[in-house]
Amino acid sequence: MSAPEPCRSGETVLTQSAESEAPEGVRDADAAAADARLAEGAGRGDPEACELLVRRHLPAMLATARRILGDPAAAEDCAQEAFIKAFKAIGDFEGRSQLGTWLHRIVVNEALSRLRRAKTAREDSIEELLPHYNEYGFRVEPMWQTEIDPDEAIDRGRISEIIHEKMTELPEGYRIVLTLRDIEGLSTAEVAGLTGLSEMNVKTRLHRARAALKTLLEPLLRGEAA
Amino acid sequence: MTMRRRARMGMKSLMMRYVPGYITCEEADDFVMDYLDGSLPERQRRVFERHIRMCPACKRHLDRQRKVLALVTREGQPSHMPQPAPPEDLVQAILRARGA
Repeated sequence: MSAPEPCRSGETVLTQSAESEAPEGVRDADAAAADARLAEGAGRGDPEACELLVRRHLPAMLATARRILGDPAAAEDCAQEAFIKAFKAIGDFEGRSQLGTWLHRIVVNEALSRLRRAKTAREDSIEELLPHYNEYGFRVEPMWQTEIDPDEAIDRGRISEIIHEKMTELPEGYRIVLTLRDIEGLSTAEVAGLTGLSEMNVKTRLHRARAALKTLLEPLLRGEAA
Repeated sequence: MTMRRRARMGMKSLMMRYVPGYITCEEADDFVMDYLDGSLPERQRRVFERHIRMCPACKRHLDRQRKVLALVTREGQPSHMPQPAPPEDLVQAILRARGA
């Protein structure tokens, strides 16, 4: 079968500039309506709608896959596979959730399934990033000379960049739990279901991952990371 | 460290280790996550907060952990991540795979 015809325009497209000029509520409603039209078109096999859908949602899908898998090349394969699955199932998309949320869940599942298949979850030590105590159980911490409010002192884009950079330094098993729980917003039970860990294990990993990430981000709080 | 400060630290250390209802920093850390998530049971919350009031180091740790969690939850969202245009060959590969 031949490849779908590329398409550069279409009435269902909501351009970035139009989105950014509209008020937020209107933007969300417009985006949801545009997504619903794209899903409906893709369900009919309309190549134009399929292409627009890919161009609109691929960046976020790639970003999510990268966060979970760490490796950009693996993330591209994962996003591609997720789209193939999404196109196969798009007829079942009933619009009860946003198209972006639905696609997002597919890419998260695909990324986790790849990790399980590869069984590459490295259990690097996280100990050195955790709080230290003396023999009586009291906290041992270096004194800080300065402490800043990153929101006031550092550009938001840069903060986001630093956070993502530091998250990649967490061992995989911890990074995944932190990503799913604190960024993707899943519940402990959902994370346990997706990763195959017990809920207690998810909580322990999350606790340690948060503490380790705090250590990694301390330069940001001390104003040394701008 | 002055004699007075050393004595105060020693007293605090004894209380946290041996007086019921007081905990050490290491024990307090076990409660941080549930405390920040708002899911720490009432009795443990009281014990934890008592420790935080007595221990400036743990108070600083808690404040910084809270700050980092807020930053990560907010700035880690996909909408805040730099999302450069995806590679054109990937877009085309997906469209080809769909048509295959």
